Amino acid sequence: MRRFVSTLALASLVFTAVITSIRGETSENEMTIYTKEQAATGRDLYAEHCASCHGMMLEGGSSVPLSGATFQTRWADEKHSVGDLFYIVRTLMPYGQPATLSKPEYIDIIAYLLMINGYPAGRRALPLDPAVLDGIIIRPRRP
Amino acid sequence: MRYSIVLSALFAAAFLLQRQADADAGPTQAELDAAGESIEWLLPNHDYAGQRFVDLKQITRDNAAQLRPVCIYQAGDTRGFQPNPLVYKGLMYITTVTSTIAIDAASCMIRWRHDWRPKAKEAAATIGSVVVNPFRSRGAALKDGTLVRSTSDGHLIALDAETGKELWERLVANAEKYELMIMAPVIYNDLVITGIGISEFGIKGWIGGFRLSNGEPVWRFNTIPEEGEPGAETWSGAEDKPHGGGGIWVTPSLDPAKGMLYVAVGNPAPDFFGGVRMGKNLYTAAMIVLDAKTGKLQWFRQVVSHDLHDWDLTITNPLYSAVIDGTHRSLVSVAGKDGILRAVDRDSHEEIFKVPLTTISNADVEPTIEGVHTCPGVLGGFEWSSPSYNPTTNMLVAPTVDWCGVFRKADELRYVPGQLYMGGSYTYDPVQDSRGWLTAVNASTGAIIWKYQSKRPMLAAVTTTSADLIFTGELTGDFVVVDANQGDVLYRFNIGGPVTAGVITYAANGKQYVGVASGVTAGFWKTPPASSILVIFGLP
Repeated sequence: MRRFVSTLALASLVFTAVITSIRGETSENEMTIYTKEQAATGRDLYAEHCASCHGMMLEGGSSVPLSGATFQTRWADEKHSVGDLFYIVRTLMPYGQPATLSKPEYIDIIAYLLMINGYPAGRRALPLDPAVLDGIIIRPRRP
Repeated sequence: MRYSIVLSALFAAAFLLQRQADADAGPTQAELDAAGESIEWLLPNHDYAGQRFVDLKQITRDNAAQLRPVCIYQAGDTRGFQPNPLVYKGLMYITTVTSTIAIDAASCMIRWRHDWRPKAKEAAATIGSVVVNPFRSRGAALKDGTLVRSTSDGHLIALDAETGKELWERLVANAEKYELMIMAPVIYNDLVITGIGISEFGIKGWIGGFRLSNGEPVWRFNTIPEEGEPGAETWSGAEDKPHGGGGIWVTPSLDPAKGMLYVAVGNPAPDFFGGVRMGKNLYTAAMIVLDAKTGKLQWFRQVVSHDLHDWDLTITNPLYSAVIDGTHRSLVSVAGKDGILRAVDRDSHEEIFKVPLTTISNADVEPTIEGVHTCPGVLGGFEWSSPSYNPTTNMLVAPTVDWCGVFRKADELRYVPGQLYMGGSYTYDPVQDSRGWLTAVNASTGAIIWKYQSKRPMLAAVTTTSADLIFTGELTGDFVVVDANQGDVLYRFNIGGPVTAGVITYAANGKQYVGVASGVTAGFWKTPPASSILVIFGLP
């Protein structure tokens, strides 16, 4: 039992190290935030529900950009988590028809949003667990 | 010694001369007190009482169809444009997000323009991920040659009304935290009075008085009581979740004789998640009556207790007198996004009448996670434009929004700094189901006399005249002249962009004109892009 707890604690420690930040670097730790498959699914959902206002590459349109300096200023300030971003998107978007997608669909859109903003994909899928998402602090992406 | 005495005397004389020149520049306090009789436009709602009635008869029911645009001023701005113009001594003053402009009120020729460059942080122009242009200027205030307005970065600034030269500036609000001073201020004696929105960001609302000579804070009233203040006991719930709201974003009315300020206070936040703010949530969705000199609360009347639908109280004007059961009563018109027009006695505080002017449905049903279809929706009801009171017909003429939708409570509550603190979501009915009303109401009884239906919500200001005419506008871009007796449209002219704010009438060089502002409004009204323009209409 003690060994199991130790293993769990170690795993937890590693997982915490993995999820506590995203910075857009290519270190091994930060390769595990979301998967390319998630982002690809998210891309299709984004195209259907979001791109008409925000642009296909998140460059903005009738509504604000979700990429570049706007994203960095609004979200990558080390005060917001992926959990915050997920909460706002799933409760307020799509504009005029909020909360009409499923949570897995919203999380895939978040993965696409992170990919376009330069945060690298990896082998671990972005989960729905709020505690995990809240632990992922969005840090500035280095140029 | 003798030189210093002479110099001091000269400085004192110069100071007094300047003060006299400022006072001569006007409008004086006496002129403002009598603005109800003015055939110019001295205050955002024409006069302190906010009656929006002008005794002008050149434009009549017979000749209204001959109105034509006289000139157009293009402000060169594509951001939110919802000013209430002022007109004094032949000059019209308008505001955009960053510019303050004086033009000739008969020719649109520009006299001066002042462009403010923000010095403090502004509110980010996003809500969630949507551009809503959260700051907009609804106008300025004018007294003794000084024009005062608020800015997008939390400043009050004062300009010389003759030249546009900046007289002073003072940082009084934290715009970065969405303390946005959207409303046109009120100047009363030596005080500039203004308040802050936006409730949805979880601000704690306040209204304050600032010295006209330099912007120095004089008094402040918190619409969300701090711990230990009266009203704090009306908030209880989860201590780890912030509560707030109580924004003030519409110009109050004022009884100058008694020095009483009638203020409309916005909704509580989080909007749809009431469990963390149990109680009446004073002083949200309430009319508060303050001593204009001290900011002390005299009395209040809450219209929506423990609001759960983003139903700000928005309207506390006009102040007017009417005969009720044979007795003259002093009344105040009170209305908000709940869609109900009320008349309240200013002396006894008794409600004289209440009449719904929009569709009302499921108003008492709390939002659920599954969603509840409710009318009015989050957009009202009454927005920022008030009824006009015509004393010759004893009639209130009110613009309203009729647009329902589904309120949903979120499955969890989270405060994310810089983002909407709704605690849920709102889904509009299809835009083709939205509409607006212009309703004429008997000001003594609340009986509806006639209704005019617009294809879209009615947001524009409403002005009435002694020729029994009504001037207003529509989201479609139409400026319309309506017969006050029947509600028939006598004249319609599309000026190319939504009309959502100032529509005024005045005389310049002996001729009656109508000024109509048009430009961008917030995205949720679903109007096409537009430029900021001011069109002046007149007879040939």
